[in-house]
Amino acid sequence: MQKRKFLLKVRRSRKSYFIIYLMILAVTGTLFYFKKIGLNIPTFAWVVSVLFIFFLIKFTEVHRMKDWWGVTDSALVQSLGLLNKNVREVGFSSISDMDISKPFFKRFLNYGDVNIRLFLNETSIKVKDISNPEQFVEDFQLIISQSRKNKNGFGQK
Amino acid sequence: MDLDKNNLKYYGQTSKKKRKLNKKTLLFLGFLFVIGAIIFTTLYSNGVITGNVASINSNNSIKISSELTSPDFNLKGEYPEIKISSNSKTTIYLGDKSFFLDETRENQIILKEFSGKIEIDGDGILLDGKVSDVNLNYLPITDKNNKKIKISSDSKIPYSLIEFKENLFLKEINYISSGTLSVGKQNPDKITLNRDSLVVSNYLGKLKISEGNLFLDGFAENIKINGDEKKISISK
Repeated sequence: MQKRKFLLKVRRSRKSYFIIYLMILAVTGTLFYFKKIGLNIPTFAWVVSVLFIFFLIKFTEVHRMKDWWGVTDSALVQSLGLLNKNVREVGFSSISDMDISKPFFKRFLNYGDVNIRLFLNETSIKVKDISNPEQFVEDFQLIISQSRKNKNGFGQK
Repeated sequence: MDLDKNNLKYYGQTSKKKRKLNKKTLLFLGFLFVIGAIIFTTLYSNGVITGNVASINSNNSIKISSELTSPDFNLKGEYPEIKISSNSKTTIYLGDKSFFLDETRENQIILKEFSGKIEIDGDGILLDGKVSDVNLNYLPITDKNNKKIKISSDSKIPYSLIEFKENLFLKEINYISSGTLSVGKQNPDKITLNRDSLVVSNYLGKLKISEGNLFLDGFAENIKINGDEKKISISK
């Protein structure tokens, strides 16, 4: 089986885990502050904090890596899950339209969702929490139009 | 055939939104627990809670007072007020300033809200920490921005008196001691020690070291004395 060549590949942006990074910062900041003012931090507090930070970082990385979306020269590929992988491939001809969802909070960090709707009322594909979704849509549309041009060019021959 | 909506049964499936909310709630609660654990165990581990002082109250512990030879101390934590008297030449550093104390008079150093390390032995006191207020020979010194001031000394500060003004918690005092130890509230028993091993567990009370003698006045959970001629164990 030939390995697919992706013209565009995106994953969840790390910006979407901003709140989690803030929690990590709060915990390390508290530990650092107490250490700085000379307080004796018990082993229990250290162990709980380290485990919490380790778990959060592991969780965010695993959560981020498990889903991805790629665009080949003829299809959009969605892969969900790490252990139980769910891969869906949708040809460009099935795509009806796209829209971008950027709630108030996500606008500050410039990340959001792209909702790709399909013909025949099938379940749409949601590209979640990607950085700069407008750029993704622009690039995707460029790829689609390029693909159509190539097809028409081939057809005319 | 028309479908009767009322006949449709919806099997209890947690919606994706609800599951997300549960995960977020769990995460937030976990964060609160961690922060709470850090703050609680750090701020209250120096003698107020952690199960130690909770059991140190006058009904569940032994009243003790002493005049014994003084051991070496290696303390770390927060102390509301420490009084030091010294009649030796020494230099103390407060922030970026140095203060020279000469030996021609009895110098009084009062430290308020000291947090850091204190090492006490026969040669003197070594301080390394921060204070909110210092009183040097009745001259108050504070930071103009109300921040804590770093305090340290080049060498050990020789002392004639060191006193912890408020209740001090010590998990264990364990050393070879001589002197007298009074145990009990009313009609206390006086025990004389002569280079005997003394172990006092979970002590809460006042502490003063003056002219090489340790003066305790407080409560302890357990006292053990082990010597050539005696073996005493007292616990409540």
